[in-house]
Order: sequence, then structure tokens, then C-alpha cells
Amino acid sequence: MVDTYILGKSELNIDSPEKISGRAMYAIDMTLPGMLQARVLRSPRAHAKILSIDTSAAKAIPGVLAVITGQDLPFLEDFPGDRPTLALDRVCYIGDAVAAVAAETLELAEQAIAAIKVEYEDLPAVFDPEVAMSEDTPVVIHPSGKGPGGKVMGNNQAHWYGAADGDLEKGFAEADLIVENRFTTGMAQCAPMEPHVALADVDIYDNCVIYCNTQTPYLVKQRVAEILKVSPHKIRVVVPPHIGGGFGCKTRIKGEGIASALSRVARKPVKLVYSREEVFADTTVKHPFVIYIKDGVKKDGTLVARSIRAILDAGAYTDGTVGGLVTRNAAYGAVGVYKVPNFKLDNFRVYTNKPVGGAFRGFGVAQTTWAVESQMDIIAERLGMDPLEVRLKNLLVDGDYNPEQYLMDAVGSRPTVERAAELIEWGKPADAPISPTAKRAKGIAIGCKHFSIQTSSAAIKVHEDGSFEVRSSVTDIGQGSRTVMAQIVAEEFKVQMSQVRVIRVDTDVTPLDTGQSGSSTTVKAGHAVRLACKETKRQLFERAATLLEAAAGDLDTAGGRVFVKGSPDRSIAIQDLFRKLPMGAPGYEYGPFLENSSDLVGGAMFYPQNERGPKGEPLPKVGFSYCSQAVDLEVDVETGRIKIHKLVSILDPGKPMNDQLAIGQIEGGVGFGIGTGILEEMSFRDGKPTNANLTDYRIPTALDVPNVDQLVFDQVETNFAYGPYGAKGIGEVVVCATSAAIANAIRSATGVRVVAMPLTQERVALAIAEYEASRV
Amino acid sequence: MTKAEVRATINGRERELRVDPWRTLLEMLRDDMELTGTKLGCEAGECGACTVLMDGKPVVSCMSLAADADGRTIETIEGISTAEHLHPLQDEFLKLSAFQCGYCAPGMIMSSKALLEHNPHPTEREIREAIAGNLCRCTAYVGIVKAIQNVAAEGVS
Repeated sequence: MVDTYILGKSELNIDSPEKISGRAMYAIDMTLPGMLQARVLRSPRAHAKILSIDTSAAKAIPGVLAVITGQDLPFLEDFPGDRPTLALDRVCYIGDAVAAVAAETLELAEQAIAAIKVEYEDLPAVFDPEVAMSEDTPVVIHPSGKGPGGKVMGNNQAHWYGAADGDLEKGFAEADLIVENRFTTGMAQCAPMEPHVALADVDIYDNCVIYCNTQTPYLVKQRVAEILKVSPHKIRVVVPPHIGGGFGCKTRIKGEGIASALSRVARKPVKLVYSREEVFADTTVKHPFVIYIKDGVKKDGTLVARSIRAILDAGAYTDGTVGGLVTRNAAYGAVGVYKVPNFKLDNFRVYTNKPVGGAFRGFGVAQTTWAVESQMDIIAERLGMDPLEVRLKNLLVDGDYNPEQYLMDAVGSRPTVERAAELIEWGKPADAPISPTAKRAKGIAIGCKHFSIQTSSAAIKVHEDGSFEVRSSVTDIGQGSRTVMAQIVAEEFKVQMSQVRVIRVDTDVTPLDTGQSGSSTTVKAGHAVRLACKETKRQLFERAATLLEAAAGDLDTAGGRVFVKGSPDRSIAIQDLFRKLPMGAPGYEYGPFLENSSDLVGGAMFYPQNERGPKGEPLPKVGFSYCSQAVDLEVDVETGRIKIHKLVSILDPGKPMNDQLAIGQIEGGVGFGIGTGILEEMSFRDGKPTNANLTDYRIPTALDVPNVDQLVFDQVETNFAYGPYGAKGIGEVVVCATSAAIANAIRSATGVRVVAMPLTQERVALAIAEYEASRV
Repeated sequence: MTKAEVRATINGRERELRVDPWRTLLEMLRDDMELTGTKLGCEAGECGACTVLMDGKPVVSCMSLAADADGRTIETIEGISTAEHLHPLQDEFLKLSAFQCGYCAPGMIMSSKALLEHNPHPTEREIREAIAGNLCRCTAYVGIVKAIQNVAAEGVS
């Protein structure tokens, strides 16, 4: 980035010094005097009626100060209103919350949980979404939502999203080749290292303070107000500045409502820390997908038609608006890269008696990308073309309308995939495998994910010493958003980073924001902070104008001084805009006041307008970022074990705000991509999780990822004029391409096309064995 | 219930504590001594966030009984630096911004410290083996491994 003062540089993450010293305070470290410990009783049944709940024995235990059930909290979250805070008359999956207790110690809370007697009557359960949506489903879990034409859909179908362009039948008729496949993806857990924590303190006026590690503080505020049936002004959500990871599963409300309700009963602070098993079973998971994709192509590789039908396994409920959004946004993974003149897509989200699908890094797009980028290789193979060539032939470019009618802008597919190809030496055969039982090859894939452009607000307070305080309700789950916000203020006021402090999120102080999700933070908070700086400057310049005898419009600021443009000697220090009372005047020793005001605070809101398609149709405002990946790997044909020799990941960040933090996202994305691509899958037996812990559910260890010199990262910039300082959202696109690149390499190496993700060792070994057997 | 007596050297100071015999070392450190730098991640020895050094060797404190610390030397993240001086590993992790959310950092740093004290010039493979019990969800371990390599190359002071 040219002409910047501090943006785009690798400024040190402002939170690192606290984190490496062990001083960093996380929600899990918070305590309050007299604090009680909470535990939740969870359903052991996949689907059952609750006949009775007897809490009398639990309540009788000395030291147990609150016991609540669903009857105490008859609240259903809207959109579509299928999920109570605690089960009402029915449980819908193993792990569903039934009752909760707060006691003086964790041991007492556990005793109380064990003393609650629940009588269940089993109901039929369904675990496969394709069975659940059929006529043959053994049970209907919730009423269906509305589908095409506004009609109520079939069994267990919660959400639908459709998109179409051109004439599909005509497209298929024109095609020289039809390629049809079915792909699946597994259920995964975000598995942040810090479990979900809520420490709630409700006073006798029902004022409630909640310390928690949420990604969406203002949503917690609204929902807890609804659960407690009090006005939102009574709810204050405080998020310690450090959060031990999120990746989606800390969006919306998790344990905060239960902790608050318990605190209101006990009138004492109540801390609820999810166990690791609860993080697996009762926070939201990555929706498993079944994706049917049918493509029509010309002999020369031109795509003429594509239809996609995706079935999302919703699990037992809907996590508020997230259910509909994942169903909708998964489509972005099918429309951001390729020109498809005749297109149709239908996504269905279907209830099953399993944990609830919600926000997960990639937000549906990682799943559709898996299918589309595997399919592109299959097309290339069927046509005898190079996979890179087929991709390049069909790319959308700036100025094209994509199949959802978005006018494409700052398209980064070509530069990222070409750079990835160059660095993996595409076209040059892979070296010989190291193991005598392995085969080796390269694979490539293009990742493209939308980033939501959402609403946010921010405020900047100017302190009497001329330093700046940033107030934003965007939480930092590790990606470094606090650092980037500080950089923007430092940039705008031309001051050192040490002159800027970002305060922790506290809904009593920090202004409204729509949450840390959808790779939205950089763009929305970036703009909100930038606009807040503009408003703060306006106020500063207005105050300085009289003193400098200049027009406010002629002023600028740098290094803590306001000066007349072109005459830097006509200047005033920002701290001199505050009024020091003369010595001896009442209050003189308390510090300077601000004339005619209490604080010098400039606030602003960023509100994106919807986009419009060519016929004026409204479209949610999004941008597209790109991350192409290429891999050189060997796979052991006997064991199915994958060894990555080189993994290249090339990101289009628009213009990066902070190089080191952007590279951090690429690194983390690769770890996430490898984990969800080859290792991680939640498994169940009759709805009972069989690996809800970090031993059996394997996220990558240091031994599961390539060596440092085998990972090659780079960025290619695109010109995204809408972004703050040209930046795009990048947190999720970095995870999208990995699994398809790996599957494509496995196919090239072995001849085996694995269509189920993750590409676990067992799955790959079985696929190779079947393939070998079929060739005999 | 009889309490267990624990006499241990914790971060260089002799301490005497009385704890419930079932209490874990992690609970004693975090709850009784307010040494919250050591983190709780899984309570099952799976994630390594609670790693501390017992007589110089890394242990997952969530799977160790507090009573087992009797007569031992315990080191936590709070004990390896002062307000003025960071441990060389901390310096290097800081310089490379090796962590993102930072929740695994204390355990990771303790495991790395034990490694370098035992094996000052580890191979990359040995580094990866030494921290394989410390899960990081944010970074793919790139900066973490590099930082340990850099400190090993310079020699631990």
C-alpha cells in the first residue's frame, strides 16, 4: 500500500505482549465475590417427550441456590422460533439442555444435576437428512419452512434458498458433455481452545451484567433481555479483550441466557463454563452437506450449464438467523468464480436429531467449494484438458454479472490461481514419492468466499493528553481486529500506535455492532472507525479553528497537533483544546475540562446499501475475496495416509491492512483447511456422539501440518474500491480451497476420486482398495 | 475430609497449601493461587493449555493431582519472566506474532522451554514432537515452530 502512514505495515499485534506473558485476561479467568458455579443437565435421548422433571431433591441440597427448567424460561428465539433456552416438553438431540443449576461449588452443582429426575418417553428419531426430508421419514421434528413460490415445504425442511439464471434445459441441450456427481461433507466443530464462558450477575433491580466470550455482544444483550423479560437497557454485556478463539461457534447466544436466569433466581453471580464435551455437543457445528452437481460443458471446456442441489443437515434446531443465512450464503461458493450462463441452485436445510448446525468458518461456502472445485477437475479429466486450463477458461472477470446477478468487481481468481500454479510449478510432474508404497501428484483449487458487508458503529474519544480511545463492539477472537482498528486511528490522526488505546467491548460504553462473523469485521469496523475519525476531526477542527483564526476546513492534524494546511507553524496541541482551570479555582487539580461539553467523542455509523442486480433486484451487500491453493502430496496406497510435501496458499486481501496479520489468517486457514479437510469429523451412533473430545476428534497437532519450509504463502492485491482503504474481508476464504486441492492431487496420484470430505486416512484407504479391486 | 498438605516450590517461592485430595494441580494454581495464566481447555489432558513444568518436565496440570506437587518444583508462565525481562522464548514469540488468540500460548511456551532445556538444538521434527500435545487452533504452528527454531539457533540464555 502506498502513501500510508501506518496501514498495510506489519504493526505488532497490540495484544501479543499480554498473551505471551500469561497476563492476558480471558472470560474464563473472571471471578466475582460470592460467585456460584453452574452446570447444565443434558438430554441422553436423541428424541423424546419429557413426561416429568423432578427437581425437588436437587433443590434440597444445601449450597444449591438455583435450579431452573424450561418452564421457567418459556422463550423461543425468533427465525424460526424452534429452539427454547431449556427444553420445554421435548428433547430433540443428545446434549439438548433440559435443566440448569447454580451452587456454591462445582461439586455441589454436579451433585444437584445428578439429583434431577427426568422421565422421558422416546420418540422416533432421524439422523440422515435425505431420509428426514423424504416421505419415508420416521418423524417430523419441527414444522417445515417455506420453499419455492412461498409454499410450505416437505418433511423436516426448515429453510430453502434458490437462485437461477438463463435457461438450464437449453444449456444442457447445448452441452457436448454432461458431468454429474454427488459430494458430501462431514460435521465439524470449531473447537476454539477457550470453552464458552458466561459469568452473569443480576442485581435486585434485574440489572444484569454478563461477562462472556461471545462474538456477538449486542445479540447476547437483546436475547438475554428477552429471556429475562426485561428491557434491554438493563442488560450489560462485557467481553474481556481476549477471547480464546471463536471461528463461528461463539456467535449468537450460547450459555449466557442460562447463566443470567440462574443468577436472577440466586441473586448472586453465576459462572457457567462449558465442558469440552458441551462445546462439541451443544454449541453449533459445521453443517454437513450433500451436494448434487450437474454440469454441461462444451468440448473446449466452456461451461454452459450448471445445476446444484444441496442438502444441509440442520441438526435439531436453528441457531436464530444463522440457519437461513448458511442456506443462503452457501450459494456464494457456487457463483463467485465461474461464468455459467445457464444456472440453477436449490439449497435445503433439513432437521435431524443431531447437534445444531450454525456458523462455522467458511459458512457453507467451504462445503460448496469442495464440490465445485472437485467437479472442475473431473470435467477437465473427462475432456482430457489440464485442470488449470479449464478453470482459467471459465473465470468471471471484472464487469461480468455472476449467476446471482452480482456485478463482479476486484476479482482475484486469476492472479491468485496463476501465482499458486507458478509456485507449485504446475505442469512439471511431481517428484518421486518418498515412501515405496506411496504415489505422488499435485492438485489445485480456487477458493472464493463472499464477505458480508454489515452495519457497525464506532466512536473515538480524545483524551485530555491528546491520545485516542477507540470504542467498538467488535470482539477480537485472535485475528487482530483490535490492532487494525488502532492502526486506522493512528493512520487518520498521524500518531504513533502507542497514542491509541482500544477499550474492551462493554455495551454500556461501546456502540452498536452486528457481531464478529462472516469475515465482516475489517470492512464494517474499518469503515465505522474511519468515519468516527472523520467526525472526531470535525469536532477537533471546529474547536481549533477559533483559536487558530482559520476556517475549520483549512485544518489538518498530525502528531497530536492541529495545524493550518500549508502553514504548519500555525498550530495548536490537541491537549490545549482542553481547558485547564487556573490554580486555586475549584477543581483545578482534577484535570482539564472541555468547554461546553463533557467529552470529545466523535461517533459514526456505517450502513451499507443493498446492491442491485441489472433488473433492479435487491441483493445483500457483499464482496468477494479469493484464495487459491495448490498442493504437492503423496498418499500411501496401503494406509491412505497423506503426506503434504508443499502447500501453496495465495490470498487476495484487496489491500491488506496489516501484512503480518493477513499472513496469520492464511496460516491459520491452512491449519483449518487441513483439519477439516483430512482429519476432523464428528461421528455418531444412533445420535450419540462417539468422539466429542479432543483425543478422538483430532484437530491438527504440530505433527499433522507441513513443515515451515513446505508452506508457501503470498498475497496478490486487487483494487476493491468499496473497502476501507481498499481492504477485503479475509478470515474465511483461506479455508475454502484446501480439501478440493488435496482430493484433486489424490485423484491425480492414484486414480481415485474421493467424493466424501474429510479425506480421512480410513476413507482414502478404503476408496483406493475399492478402486484397485474394481480394476482386477 | 482430611486435606492434603502440599509443600512445593512454585515459581521460585516455597509455598504451603492445604487442598482437597481430589483437587487437580490446575485448580490449585488457577483457583487457589490465582495463577490464571495457566489455562483450562479440556480437563482431560488433550489440549495442553494447562501445561506447567514439574521438576522441569512438562505436565498437563488438569490431569495431575495437586497433592502430587508435594515436594516438587512447579513453574508456570507467570514464573518465567519479570516485569523487565521476558524469557527469550517469549521475546521471540512476540517478535514473530506467533500466536493469534493466545489461549494456547502459556502451555506452548512451557513445553518449548522444557524442550530447549533438555535438548538445546532440536530438529524441526523434535520441536513438533515436543509441542504435539499443545493444540493451537489459530495458526498451523508456523510462527510457533519458527520462534523455537530461532531461539535454539541463538542459544537459550
